Amino acid sequence: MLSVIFYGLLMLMFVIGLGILLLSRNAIKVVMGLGVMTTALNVFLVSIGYVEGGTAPIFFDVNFTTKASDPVPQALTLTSIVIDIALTALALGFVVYLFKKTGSIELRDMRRLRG
Amino acid sequence: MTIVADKTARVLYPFILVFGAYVIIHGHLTPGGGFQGGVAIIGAAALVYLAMGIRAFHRYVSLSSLTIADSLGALLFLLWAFLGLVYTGYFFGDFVGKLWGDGVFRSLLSSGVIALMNISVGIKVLGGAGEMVVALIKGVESHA
Amino acid sequence: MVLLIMFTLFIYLGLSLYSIHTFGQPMKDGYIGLSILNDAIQRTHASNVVTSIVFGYRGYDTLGEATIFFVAVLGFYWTMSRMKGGKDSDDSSR
Repeated sequence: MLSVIFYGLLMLMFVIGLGILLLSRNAIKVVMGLGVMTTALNVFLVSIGYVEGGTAPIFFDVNFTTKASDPVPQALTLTSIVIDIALTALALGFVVYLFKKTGSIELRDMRRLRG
Repeated sequence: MTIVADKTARVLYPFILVFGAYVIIHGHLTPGGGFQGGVAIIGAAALVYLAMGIRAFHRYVSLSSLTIADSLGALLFLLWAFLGLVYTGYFFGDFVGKLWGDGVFRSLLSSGVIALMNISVGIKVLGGAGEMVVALIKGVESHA
Repeated sequence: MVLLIMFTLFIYLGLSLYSIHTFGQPMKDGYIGLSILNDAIQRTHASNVVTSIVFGYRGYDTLGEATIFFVAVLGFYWTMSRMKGGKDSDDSSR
């Protein structure tokens, strides 16, 4: 029952982030929706490998006897977070450039093709 | 900003740099590593701009050294990989363990080529994120 | 319309709860994290197992991610340098 609540809340957060991305008229709110989606995904990826009663996978003896959490999803999340940083920075750079060119950040004003 | 924030940032700036370097260099012993330490050092640059103004930022941070650090980190990372191909038969192979043996466990010189790759990735993230911060500040300042 | 898409996606994601393991038990009996944990300290002599996975067992992913970061920094700097008052800020194509 606890696992259903936990995973269900994370999936709800992902779907709400998708809704923010698709339904907003401000360009910065689109980038915020992208941020909510990536945060939900990273938390989900880390929490897959939780072992009950386990510690962090950093050891000081060569032969360890305690249980440890799964280290593979943590390594995957490290890469994912750095890629999300690069994506958000590029998206915000495009928003600033669009503001300089058209003078507004409403998405309604950026739909016309100029010739 | 106010003079309290100015003097506090002036005192805190070297401590943040030392903390970031500690997280990078001890990447194979404590939680952290190259990426986390590089971003922690860039926090110091952002603090300098926010608390001390644009003139102090141009005095503390120079764009050319950040660009050199970015390219140097990427080339060093590839250099360790190709040296692993030369000395052992594998790309990213552990050539430090083959040439000089294993170090003392839990010391700074253990774990072979992983410590060298940590430091080069730390330098690369430092240069890259610093370049993004400098570009953003230059874009903000040229408009207003 | 968009709300319908979101609701369908939520139901579809929720149906996958039948095949995810319970939150707290290990995944399968022989999942790969266990074999890496038993083997990593002997082979790499590093205390931090996560760092030895990122740079040792999965080094190619770190190489690709460093390349993505480099290209993103280049793109961001090029976009920001085309602001008004720069040398090449006109959009004329000739």
